[in-house]
Amino acid sequence: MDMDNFREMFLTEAAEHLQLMVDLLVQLDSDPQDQDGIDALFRGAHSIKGMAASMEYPETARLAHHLEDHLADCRQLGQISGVEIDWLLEAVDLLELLLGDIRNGRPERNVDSFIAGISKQPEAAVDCVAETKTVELTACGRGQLIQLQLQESVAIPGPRFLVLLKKLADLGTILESTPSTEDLLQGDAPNQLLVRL
Amino acid sequence: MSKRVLIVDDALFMRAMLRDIFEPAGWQIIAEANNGEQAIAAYKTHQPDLVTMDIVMPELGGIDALKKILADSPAARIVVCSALEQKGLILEAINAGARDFIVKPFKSAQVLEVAERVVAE
Repeated sequence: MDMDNFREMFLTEAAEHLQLMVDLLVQLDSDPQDQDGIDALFRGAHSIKGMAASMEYPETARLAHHLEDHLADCRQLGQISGVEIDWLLEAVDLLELLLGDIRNGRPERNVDSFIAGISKQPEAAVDCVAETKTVELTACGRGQLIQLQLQESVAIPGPRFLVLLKKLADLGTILESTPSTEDLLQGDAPNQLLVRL
Repeated sequence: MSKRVLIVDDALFMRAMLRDIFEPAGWQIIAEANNGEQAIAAYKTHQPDLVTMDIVMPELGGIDALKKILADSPAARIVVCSALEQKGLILEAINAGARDFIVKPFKSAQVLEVAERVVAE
């Protein structure tokens, strides 16, 4: 499929999400603790972010990401305020304008000022990098000590190490590892993993 | 014989992107599903070689669907798809039995490298 077809598909699906988000925001205005509604709003922003990032529309992806972060907080709180609903409606309007830019072949408008008006927190990168790994084996004491080192370009080392740790568990009994599975699940992101098999 | 993949994502756009990556590489898209419940039913019907499972979906999310598929079919090869910043969800999915993960936005080489490796295991 060529990129024109993907662009049309993106525009159609993103517009559907935005319409649904407007409907949800109107409903939430009268029932601000509707968890299903807040969850659906979050998924809408999440979907638009993912699609826009895939199409390399950075401003749309950035704004959708910002909404997603904001809605993740609302999910945790279990409610959404009237002020937040107003802001989200403005954000949806801006996303519609961005879709218009894309539809008409114009450069996307910049969303810095809108985002800065709400939060000055830096945005996480949506870039993706290739992953490679090197493995060194050494004999040392009881069992085999295995050192796994990831290239610096690996985007999210924690989950990658967890995958590797599980694969090593298929090869033999893991006597110990630093960090441990529990540490990795807690969010530790080391640059190397030591395992004794 | 071509390898068979079940693509699970609530976004038609994302499913189309994955189809566009897998088909030219010789994979057969055996089925698509847009939520976790559909994924479980499609897995039972088709027994694919690989499942690409989105995490954030309506009805039933990807992690719950993954757990249910693995409860019935422990050998199921499932890789999860998620955004870079959702590290916590990816960790949870791997801990629940996902074989690997791919991050959005999808890069053809990365998707195929993970898919081929997981199927070869």
